[in-house]
Amino acid sequence: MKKDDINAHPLLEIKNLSINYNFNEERLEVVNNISLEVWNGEFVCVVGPNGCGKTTLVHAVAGFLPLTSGQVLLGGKEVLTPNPNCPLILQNLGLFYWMTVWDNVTFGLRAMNLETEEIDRIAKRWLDIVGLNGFEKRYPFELSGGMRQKLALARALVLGPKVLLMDEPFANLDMQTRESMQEEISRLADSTGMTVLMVTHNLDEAVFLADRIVLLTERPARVKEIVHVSTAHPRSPEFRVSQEFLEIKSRVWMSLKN
Amino acid sequence: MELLFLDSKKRGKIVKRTTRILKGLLVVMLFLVLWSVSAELGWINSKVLSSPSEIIEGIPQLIKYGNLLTDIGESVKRVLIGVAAGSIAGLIMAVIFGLFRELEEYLGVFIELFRPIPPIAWIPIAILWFGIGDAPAYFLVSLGSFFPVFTNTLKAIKSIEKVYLNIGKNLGASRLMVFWRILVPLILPDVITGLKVGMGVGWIIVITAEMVGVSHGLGYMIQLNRTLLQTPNVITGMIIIGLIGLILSFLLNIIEAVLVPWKKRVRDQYEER
Repeated sequence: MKKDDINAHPLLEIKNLSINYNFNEERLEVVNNISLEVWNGEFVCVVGPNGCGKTTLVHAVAGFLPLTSGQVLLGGKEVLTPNPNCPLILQNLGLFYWMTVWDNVTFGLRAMNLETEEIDRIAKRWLDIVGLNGFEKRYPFELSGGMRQKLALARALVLGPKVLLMDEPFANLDMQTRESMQEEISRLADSTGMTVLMVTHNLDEAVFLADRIVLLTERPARVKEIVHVSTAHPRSPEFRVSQEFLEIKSRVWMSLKN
Repeated sequence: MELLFLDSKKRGKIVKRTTRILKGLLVVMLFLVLWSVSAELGWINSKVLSSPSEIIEGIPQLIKYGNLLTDIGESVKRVLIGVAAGSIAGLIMAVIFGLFRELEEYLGVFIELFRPIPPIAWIPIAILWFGIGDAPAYFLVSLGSFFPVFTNTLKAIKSIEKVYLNIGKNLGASRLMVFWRILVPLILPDVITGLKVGMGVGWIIVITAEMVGVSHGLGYMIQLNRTLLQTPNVITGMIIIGLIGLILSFLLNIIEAVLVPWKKRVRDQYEER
């Protein structure tokens, strides 16, 4: 039935994706013919040198940018514009600073024209899950960095998306908050069975979170290598200093260096 | 005694705000006392500057026989209608220019030619076109309040960050929802700033226009009393003009606090630190 279907084909398919920019009559190749399959429930991290085009890639997958060629298929359907089935969490979060925490979280729900009780229920539940209880009437600027992250996540997750896309979401956080957020997102992904595609330049982050790590070359970005991380979820914080972790990280680091 | 029951944060804010008002009132009181005393002691020639007591004495007469309340009503009516008209025109023009950016390339220079002309310079033409009465006042006030609202709104529209629109779509919002819940709030602070400036400019213009060619109104009343050598009433008029200007900007601040609540919270946050 439905459950078999969703596991029979990749949930997210990136097929021969290329993105070129026309910059002052010069053609700039940013992403060159990338193909990638993401399966239901997977956590995939995309890493690569700065400026390689990974941000462009994930923005295009989310429908924020037009593709020069290729396709992005979500559940078999082509992704052409930003839509709630694959929300993108940006590095700058894009929180609606003129709205309270509550209004931010319920925004997408209101777009779905749900009953008020339903909206209340779902929103409260997710605020509880991410730990923003009691902050409903606050504005984003009144929250700490980690809390803003949680708000951005909650805002997207209330929609029950099939795939969660993230572009270096934790890059602006201090180390401790960052690690805490990594554990948070890992826990969330694991408990909801959500599929995640995350771009990061932080190798520790990628190895800690991912089932598979996709390494990109320098611009124009191509898939260089894919590294598997077979440690089961949920992963304890101590995994960061385990033998397996260090081995995988070394592999990725060496590969990127060459 | 109820103050004891409020939490310390709210108590602190009330105390802070009250002390601010008291400090301001203190200076005003001091000034009035100084003024009265100087007049009593003959330090000031009452023909040049009337004493506070003279001014206050003249008020009942002004109200009964001098139509003071009517004059106040006229001026306020003119400024409110004029600013409303100018602001709406400014808003609409800004939206049009925002939607059709090429228009600015054609019409930009033409509009900029009008901006430096002070509305006051329009008075002769206004009276020529509209005669004496309310109409020229409306025209001039609209003109004066048009530019602040137009400029501020257009600037806000041009600086809307696309990312918020994309995120709105990303979360499933319809175009209507993106418009009302994202676009409008994004430009609202600047629109209100333009409105505040427009109101300030409009109030000055209304008084000036009334002094030159309009009947009734506070400006007219000042001129009339000048010609009648009723100096205390002239000063009364000036004080009332100042007070009403203050009240108008105070009202706009309240509107701003209601429509753009997050701005004030940012300020409060910084003050606390």
